Amino acid sequence: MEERGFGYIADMLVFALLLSTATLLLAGASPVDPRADSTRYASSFAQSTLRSLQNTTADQFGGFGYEFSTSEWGLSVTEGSARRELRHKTLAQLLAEDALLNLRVEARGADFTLPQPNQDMNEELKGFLKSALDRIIGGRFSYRLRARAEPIGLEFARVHFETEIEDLAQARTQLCSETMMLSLPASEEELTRRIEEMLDIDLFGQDLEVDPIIEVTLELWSR
Amino acid sequence: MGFSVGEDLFSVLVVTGLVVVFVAALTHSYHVYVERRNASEDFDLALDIAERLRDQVLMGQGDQLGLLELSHERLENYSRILVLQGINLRVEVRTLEGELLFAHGSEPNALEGYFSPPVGVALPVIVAQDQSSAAPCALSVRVWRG
Repeated sequence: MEERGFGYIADMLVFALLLSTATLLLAGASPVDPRADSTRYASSFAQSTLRSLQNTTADQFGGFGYEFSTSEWGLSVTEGSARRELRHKTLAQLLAEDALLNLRVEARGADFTLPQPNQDMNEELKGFLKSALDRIIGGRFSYRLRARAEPIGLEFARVHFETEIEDLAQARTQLCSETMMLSLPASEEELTRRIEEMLDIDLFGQDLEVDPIIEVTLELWSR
Repeated sequence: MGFSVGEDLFSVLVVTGLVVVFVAALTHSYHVYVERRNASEDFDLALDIAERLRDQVLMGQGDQLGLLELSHERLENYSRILVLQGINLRVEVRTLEGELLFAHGSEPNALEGYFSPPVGVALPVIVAQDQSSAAPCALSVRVWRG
């Protein structure tokens, strides 16, 4: 082969090398971050889900009800009359009511719930909300819903509320976390009175910071 | 050029063939790159439209966020604005069981779908049924350029 022929082939090979480098760069380069898209979608989805909790009644998910725990209180009631049906409350109202009725007490490092007639509501509501969230989210994401009230500090204890519903069995990475605030169905005075009744104490004259609001946070995770 | 017929010409043909293959690979990579970019832009567009439908166009009269009032008239007006920008829209509202409650806009035809594949998003919403009841549904929005 003559020298010009060698030169021609060498030029072509260099050109092919440049082309393959460009191809590899293009194949590897992503014009957008796919995670940014999923995060934005998840965030919008979480906002929609939280709004759904505020606008959907329990009736739309088959209705919600629970039994008062009458036996622990030594009450004898007619069969079936201790059942409380809350079909027309929205899911958010149920969460707020659960927070008000099932406040927890933390004292000397121990966290406990005082026995109350409505204590079954918390567990029943967790199961009910899980099935509602499973249907709304429809398997697109894994999730964790957390509701918590600002702890109220007393001299000897801390009164608070926290509940969590999650389906993180297939969760990979957290995509977003959206929060909404809910008002408890009670004023500051009513909430103080409720704590007094619950702990059988007098809080008159104590400077308590009582905030009748709960924070509901929904985290969505990729699967 | 001073090639001799035989192995020199064969070498040139092989190298030229190689370059053609690389050019085809480069073109394909660029096509994939552009497709990814367009899909992402269209996904953003579909999400923007779905959020606008949820928060403004179909929002119920009580201005309650997340509560939708289905209206062909409102959607028709909004679709016209999008068509002026070359964007086609198909909106569906389905119950959580998958039953179709409401649909607006035509389905993309095969030719449109080939040049601009439709991109869709779905968001959970609550649809007002009458004065006192509302049902959880899924708002599905598909967009494509035409």
